[in-house]
Amino acid sequence: MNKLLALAVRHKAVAVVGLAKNTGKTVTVNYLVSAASHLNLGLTSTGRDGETLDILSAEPKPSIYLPRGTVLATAKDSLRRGTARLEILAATGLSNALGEIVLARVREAGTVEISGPERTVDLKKTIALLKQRADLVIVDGAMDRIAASAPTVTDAVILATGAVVGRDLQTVVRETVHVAHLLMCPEAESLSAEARGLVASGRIGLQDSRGNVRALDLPTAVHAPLELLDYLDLEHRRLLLGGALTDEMAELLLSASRRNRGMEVIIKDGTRIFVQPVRWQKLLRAGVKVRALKAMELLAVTVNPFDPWGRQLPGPQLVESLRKLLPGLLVLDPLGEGGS
Amino acid sequence: MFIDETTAQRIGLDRVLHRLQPLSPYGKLMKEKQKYFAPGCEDILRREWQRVHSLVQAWDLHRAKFQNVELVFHTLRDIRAVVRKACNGYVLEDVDLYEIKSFIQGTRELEKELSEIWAIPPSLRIPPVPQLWGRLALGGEGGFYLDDSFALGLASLRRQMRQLQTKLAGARREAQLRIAKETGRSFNHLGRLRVSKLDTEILEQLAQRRDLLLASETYMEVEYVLRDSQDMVALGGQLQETQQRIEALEHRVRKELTQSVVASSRRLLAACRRLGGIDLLLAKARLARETGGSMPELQAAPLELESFVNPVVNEFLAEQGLSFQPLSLKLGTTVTVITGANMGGKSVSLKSLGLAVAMAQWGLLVPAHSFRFSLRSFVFYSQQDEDPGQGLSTFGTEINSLAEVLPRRNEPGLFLLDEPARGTNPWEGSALVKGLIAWLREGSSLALVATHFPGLFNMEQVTHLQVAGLAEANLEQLEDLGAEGIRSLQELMDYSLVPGHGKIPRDALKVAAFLGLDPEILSRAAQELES
Repeated sequence: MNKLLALAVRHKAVAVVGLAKNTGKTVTVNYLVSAASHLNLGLTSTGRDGETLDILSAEPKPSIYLPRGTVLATAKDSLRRGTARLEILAATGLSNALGEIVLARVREAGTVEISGPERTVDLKKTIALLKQRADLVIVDGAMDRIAASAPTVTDAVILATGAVVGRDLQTVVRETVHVAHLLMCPEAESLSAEARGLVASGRIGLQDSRGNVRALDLPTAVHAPLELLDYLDLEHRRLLLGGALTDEMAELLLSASRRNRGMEVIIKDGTRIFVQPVRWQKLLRAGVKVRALKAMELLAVTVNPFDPWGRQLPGPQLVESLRKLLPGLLVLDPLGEGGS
Repeated sequence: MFIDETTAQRIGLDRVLHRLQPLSPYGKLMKEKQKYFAPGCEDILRREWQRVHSLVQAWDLHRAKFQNVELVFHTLRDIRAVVRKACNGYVLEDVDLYEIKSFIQGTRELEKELSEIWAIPPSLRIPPVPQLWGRLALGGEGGFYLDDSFALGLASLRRQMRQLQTKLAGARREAQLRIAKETGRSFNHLGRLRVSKLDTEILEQLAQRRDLLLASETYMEVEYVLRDSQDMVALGGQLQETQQRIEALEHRVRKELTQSVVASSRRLLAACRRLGGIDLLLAKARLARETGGSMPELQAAPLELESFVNPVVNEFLAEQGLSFQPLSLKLGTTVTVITGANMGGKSVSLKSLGLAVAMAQWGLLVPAHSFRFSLRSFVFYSQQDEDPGQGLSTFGTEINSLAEVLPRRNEPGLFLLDEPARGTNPWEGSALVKGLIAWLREGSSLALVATHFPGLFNMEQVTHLQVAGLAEANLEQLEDLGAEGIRSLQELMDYSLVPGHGKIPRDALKVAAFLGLDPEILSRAAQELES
C-alpha cells in the first residue's frame, strides 16, 4: 500500500493543511484519493477549495478528481462545477458563502469543487456526518485554517509545505520544521480535570506544586499582561493558557524564566502557538516546557518544490533535508520522482 | 387597529406570542400573517379554538407520535423558491429536485402520522402529488440521483462510457508502464514524468520518443506527458461523444421532471400553506399545554372570566417560588370600576383581562377555567409614561393617547384605564375621571377603570369591584413579620375582586408600614387622617 495512505487509514479523519497557499495541498489530497480507490472515502474542506482557478493568484489549480463511491460535503453552488455525477444524499442545514452544505455521493467518476463549512463547529458536525458514510474522511484545510487540524476536529494531520514558504531552501526547511514541531507539541502529564477544564474553556490560570488550580481574572492573554509576572513564582510554575501562545507571551515567559526555571505552559493544542522560530528556540533553551491538552498526530509532510511563479527549489534535496531534521516522519514530494 | 404596540407590550401579549413557536418556515410565515379574529368572524374563531383544543386532547394520548410529527416539521424546508424557479422556466438542478423530493417525502410521512392521531380538517389536508412523487422516487426513496431508470438508454450509455473509460485508462497505463520500463523513469499520479536537467542522457532519450509530449520545462526540470496513440485518440473521441449524449439525455430528463413540478406547482404551494396552518395550530396547542387553557365561549353579555392564570406574571412569580392567584372577573355593565389597596393587583387585573381577550381573538386557548365574552374590535390599555421627546409629561401623554382612542367608544371595544388622571391634583383628577366614566357609559365599548379617587363608584350603571386586600386578621401577622419585604406582602395579599362596598379602602398606610417607611412619618400621617 501507498506509504502515506497506510498512515492515514489508521485514523477516521485526517486534515491536510498547507503551511501557506500554493504548497500543493490539493495535490496531496488528490494523491491520497488516487491511492485510496479501494476505500470508501469522505471528503470536505474548510471553506472554498478545489476551484479551477486560484482566486488569489489566478493561477490554474488542480481540481479534485473523485472515483465512484466517494462521499463529499460541499456547498450547493459548487455542485454544478465539476464533471462527476453526484447523488444528493442529504442537506446539512449548515452553510457557507456558496450556499448550504450538501452531502453527495459520486455515482460517475469525475472532478468536483469542494467548498465545505467555514466555522469550526460546522466542520465538526460535517465530519461526523461523513464518518457515518465513509471509512476515512479527508479534510482539505484551506489557507490559514489550521484549526481544521486541531485534535478536537480531526484525528491526524498532514502538513503541506513548498517553495512558496521561503526565498531559499534553508528558509523553507527552517519554517517547515518549526511548524511541524509546534504541531507535534507533546501532551501534558498529570493534569487535573479542573486545570484541563480551565484551558479548554479558554481562560487563564495557574497551578501550584500541590496541584491546586487558581483561575486568573485576566481578560485576554493575547496582549500578555505584565501582571502575569507577579503571579508566576516558585510556587506557581504551571501556567494554564486557554488562548494563543503569542510572541508577546513568549517574551513575557522568557523574562519570567530568568528567575524561575522549569516553568511549564499548558495550551489546548499545537495549533495555538504563534511564536517565531528564533524566539521559540530561546524559550526552549530557557527551559520553558510547552505542553498540550491533547497531542496532535502529524502523519507526514508533503513538499511542493515549485512556487506559483515557476521558481523551483531542488525537490530531492528539500525532501532529504526535511527527513534529516524530522526523523521518523514521512516526507515526500507527491509529484516528484519516486513520489508514486 | 385591534391593538397598538404599547398595549400589546403592556398587557404581556408580546411575551405570549413570543412563546408561540411554529417549527417550519411555513408555520413561521403563517404566524406572521395571522390577524386578529374581528367581530363577525365568530364561526371561524370557534372552529379555530376547537381545532387547538382537539390537538391538546390528542397530544395527551399520543405523545410519542406528536414528537415524530414535530420532528418532521423541524426538518421541513422551504421549497417555494424552487417551485417559483421551475415556474419561471428554469430547468431544475439535482439539488432542487432533491428538495422537492424530500419535501413530498416529509409531508407524506407527516400526513400519515398525524391522521392516525388527529382528524385533519379537510381544508388543511395536504393535496397529494402522486405523479410527481412517482417520477421523483424512481431512483428509490432517500436522496436524489438521476438513476439509470429515469430514461430509456441511459443505462446502456453509461455502461458504454464506463467501458470506454476503463479501456482508455488501461491503454494509457499500459503505455506509461512500457515507457517506464524502457526508460527507467515512472509517471506520477497526475500522469507526468518529471526528469532533472542533470540527467542529460535520459533527457536525450526521452526527447527522441514519439509517444511522449513535452508538457513543461523549468531551468531545473522537464516534464513529459504521454502522447495518445491513434487508438487512444479514437477512444477519447468516442468517450467524449458518449458523454455528450449522456448529458443531453440527462438534461432532457431534468426538463421533464421540471415540467412535472410545474404541473403540480399549485398543489405544492397549497401544501406549503396548509402545512403552515397545521404547524401554527400545533404551536398553539403546545402553548396551551404549557400555560393550561380552555376554549372560550362567545356570549353577548356579560363578560365573565373565571380563574384566569396570567401566563406572563405566573412565569415571573414561578422564578421566585410563588404562584399567581387566579383571577375571576365579571363585567355586567358597560363601565366597571376597580378600587383597592396599593400593591393589590389592580393593574394586573386590567392587563389580565386585556390579555385574555387578545389571546382568545388570536385563536389561542385562554388559561382560565372559563371565559365568556363577545368579540372586541379593539383592546386599549392607557399609557402613562413621560414622553420627553414630545415634550409631554405623564399627564400629557395619557390625555394625548386617550384623546386619540376615545372616539371609538361606539365600537365593541375594550378600554383598560389604569388609574387615569393620577398625574394631576386629586380634585380635578377626580372630576375628570367622573366625566370620562359618564361619557364611556353612553358608548358600547366595555371599560374597566382602576382608580383611587373617591366618589366614582356610586354612579348609576357602573359596577364597582374592590380588591379583597389585606384582611384584618393578617394585619397582626404583618407586624410580626416586620419589614421583610415585598414577598411577604404578596403572600398575605388577597388579590381577588369582590363587589365593592362603596368606600375607598385605606390600605396605603398599612402597605407603607410594611414596606419599611419610618414609623414616625406614619404616625404623623395617621394623626392627619384623624383630624
